[in-house]
Amino acid sequence: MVIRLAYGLMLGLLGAVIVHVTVLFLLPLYSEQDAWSRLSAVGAPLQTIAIDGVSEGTPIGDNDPLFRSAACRFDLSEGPVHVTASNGAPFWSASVYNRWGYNIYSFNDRITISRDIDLLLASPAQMIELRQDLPPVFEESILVEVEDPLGIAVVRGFRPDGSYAQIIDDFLGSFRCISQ
Amino acid sequence: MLKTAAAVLVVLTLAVAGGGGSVWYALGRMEGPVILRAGAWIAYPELGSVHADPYSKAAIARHAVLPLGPAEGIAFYAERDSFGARLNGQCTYRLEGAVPLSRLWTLHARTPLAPAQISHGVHSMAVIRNEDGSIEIAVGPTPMAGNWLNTDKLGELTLVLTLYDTPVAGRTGQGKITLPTIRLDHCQGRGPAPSPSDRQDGVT
Repeated sequence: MVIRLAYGLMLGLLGAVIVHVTVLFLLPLYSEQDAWSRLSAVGAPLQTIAIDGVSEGTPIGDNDPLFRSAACRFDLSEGPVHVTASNGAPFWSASVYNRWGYNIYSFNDRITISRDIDLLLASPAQMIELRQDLPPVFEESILVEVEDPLGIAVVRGFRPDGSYAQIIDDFLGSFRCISQ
Repeated sequence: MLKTAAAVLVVLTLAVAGGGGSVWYALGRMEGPVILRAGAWIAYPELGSVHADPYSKAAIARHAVLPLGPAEGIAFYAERDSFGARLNGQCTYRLEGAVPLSRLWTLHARTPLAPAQISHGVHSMAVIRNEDGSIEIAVGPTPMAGNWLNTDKLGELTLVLTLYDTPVAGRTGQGKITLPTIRLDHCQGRGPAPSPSDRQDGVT
């Protein structure tokens, strides 16, 4: 009886390990609570969505309360995506994430002379085409090659105190994601 | 026959509950093996990169976090003071020391479960510095002279120190970094105070 019980326990533990590993690796693939899914629930692709962490029920967790951020989902299969925002915040930073929330490209306001955000996201194939004949509009743009066609662009602006509210609202209000 | 079926059922239940439960527990803690420690502070530089471990990747999917990229900055979390006692909003702490080179840093408090901030936090553009450039911030429920981070109405909390545009966030700058120490000053009235055995400075 004791041997049977021990055998059963061993088997159960082994099963638990297998389930643990399986759930761990499948969770990112099937999660309906990841950033992409939560942004999908509140806005259309290429629509800019505020992702502030102060009020409850915001799509993205773990934001700095001294920052205001906005995000847009993009799909490069319909062409490159042009991400722009005008200068304004005393400090801003931006990141491009793939569909699974991995940070694939990040930069801050020191990268450009004008301090405006001007990014052109393209798949490797689109990038080859763009390099051959770059439209003059994108001469100043930072070209970012994104392998995964689906992704999220995020812009964060530093809001030191309430007196900056209008400046940051204007900054995030100027944030656009446009399919080319 | 029935006995075998029952045994199989028990084993399966154990496997599914144990496996699922352990993942849930692990992700609630959100601590991957690849972490950067500096005194009481912990950071996850690999969080959100393709090189992250499976636990970090699952945690990101579960909590909908979009972690800061290397060119943006890095967040350091402290759940305990420099003596190892759990941080509590009803206690007053003193943060002392230098902050690594960065263009901007912010400090805010959050509860373990929700980002329920009652104050927006303290940041480097509006902070009083000592003559040697180091900082001293009081963290507690009652207003204090100098730099003060309000933790009124909070229970157990986590302090988040985020450095923006800093070499620490890159792969090269992680050699040896020092962050401010967190020392307990005193605790007051409401809320569970840390047990005396956790404290080493003898202040009540």
